[in-house]
Amino acid sequence: MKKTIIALMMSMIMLAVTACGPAANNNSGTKTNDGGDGYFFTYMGTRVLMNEKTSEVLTSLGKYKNYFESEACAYQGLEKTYTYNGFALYTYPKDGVDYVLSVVLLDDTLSTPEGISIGASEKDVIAKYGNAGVEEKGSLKYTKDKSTITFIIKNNEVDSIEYTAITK
Amino acid sequence: MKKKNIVIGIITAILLIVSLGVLQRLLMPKFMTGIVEGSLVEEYYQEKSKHDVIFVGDCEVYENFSPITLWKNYGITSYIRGSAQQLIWQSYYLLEDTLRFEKPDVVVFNVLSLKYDQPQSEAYNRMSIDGMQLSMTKINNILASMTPKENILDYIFPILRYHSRITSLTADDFKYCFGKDKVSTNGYYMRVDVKPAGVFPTPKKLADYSFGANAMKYLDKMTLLCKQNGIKLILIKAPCLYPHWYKEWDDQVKTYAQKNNLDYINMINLVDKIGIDFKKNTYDAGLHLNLSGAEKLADYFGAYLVRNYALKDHRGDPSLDKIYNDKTAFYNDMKQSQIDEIKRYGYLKRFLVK
Repeated sequence: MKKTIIALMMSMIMLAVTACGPAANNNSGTKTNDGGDGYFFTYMGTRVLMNEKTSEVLTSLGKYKNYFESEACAYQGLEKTYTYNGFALYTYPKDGVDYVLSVVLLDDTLSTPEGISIGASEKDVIAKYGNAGVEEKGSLKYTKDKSTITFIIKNNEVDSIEYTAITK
Repeated sequence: MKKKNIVIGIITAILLIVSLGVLQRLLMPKFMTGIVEGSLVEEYYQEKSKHDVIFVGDCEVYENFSPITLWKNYGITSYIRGSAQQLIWQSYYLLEDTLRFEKPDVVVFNVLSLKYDQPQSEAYNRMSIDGMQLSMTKINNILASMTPKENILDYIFPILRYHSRITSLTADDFKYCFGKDKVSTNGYYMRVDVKPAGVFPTPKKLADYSFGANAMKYLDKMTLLCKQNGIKLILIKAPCLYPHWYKEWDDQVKTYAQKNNLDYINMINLVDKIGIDFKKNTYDAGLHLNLSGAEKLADYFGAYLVRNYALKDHRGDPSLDKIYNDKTAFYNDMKQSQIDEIKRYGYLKRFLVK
């Protein structure tokens, strides 16, 4: 009887301790995946891919105009923004390494490799990127591998262009 | 023999439950150093007196208002039921939870979280929910907050979620297994360091500035809950410079407040009037206020509360005087220890995340 009870206790504790679910700790948060050959942005010959390591891209991009970092509440990582002429690059941290989260075009001095810049018509976007874009509340969103490119359309013209990493 | 077996069985079951309870306490993150914000929610249950004002919301409440200044300057008793990236449904359920214990005159809700319409992150969920006492309110909060990969049982029995910490336990886990130190004064997270605000990135344009239906549903629920309990609800936007608070968002809150006969104060527009100097009164470059900023803001807001909500001045009430003398001593000690730490290390080592 005693042996049965001890065995029962041990098995219940083991069950509780080894139960389902991945590891959790103070910093458990968003899980991300690296790489992918999705949409990319090109600046002065440097190709910027979503989810790629920021350190490598930054070296190639050269000096930025402005750098901003913000500590997420309760330190769930440092979000960094590098602003260059005409675009801003946002990063996300994962296991102590920064990766490209998004690139936002800030004016019409730059365009996507497909030739779309701020001010282009919605028709131009569809001509270059196709009909597969998802229309969402005033925007056209295209997804490729682990990246998206979103065109915000205002009065039938592109008002904003943003590349974003799919991190989940 | 049969009776003896039953008794042994019962004793075994009790021992098993107690053992699992102890194990669970040991395995749960303690949030005593580094990310202390994870301890904020549970500290409320240690309160010995009721409060005139309850704040609910994210870091823009628990880092920006000093309850001690509200007491010292106006005799207002207040508590901040804040937590990191507290989403609006969590604010609603934390308010509902608070009403199990007391009925404040005023509830203050910071509207930044309206920008989130869906659950965001397990790590933040845990900091808002794990510290709540078990109740139907907590269960409803879990159901509203879970991200797709989460499981309600992991919240009700946290040992299921934190079991893998068994291999990475720290000295803190043993030290604070059966009792934790206080990390806040009435929910206020103190920082005395200074990091002046700089240049912010250009705000991203959004395709749609409308707040989501789910977020607005919980704002409606909060408004109704306050009305049903005779509580005045005040909507605020704390004077933080980042993340950007869009005009389109502000207009929606203004419209909502007018429609529901609520006061809405966008404090970003009042920075000069409040006297906040973002070169001196912020510890993280304009995202949150430091202690000097939080005291200025509380002083401004306390005057507003007295002027518009006729809150009673409790100074002179012997039992509250005693309670708040103790709280003030704790607050002053924490302030001094942070000043000393900065003198010694040049920064606040206690908040360093390892």
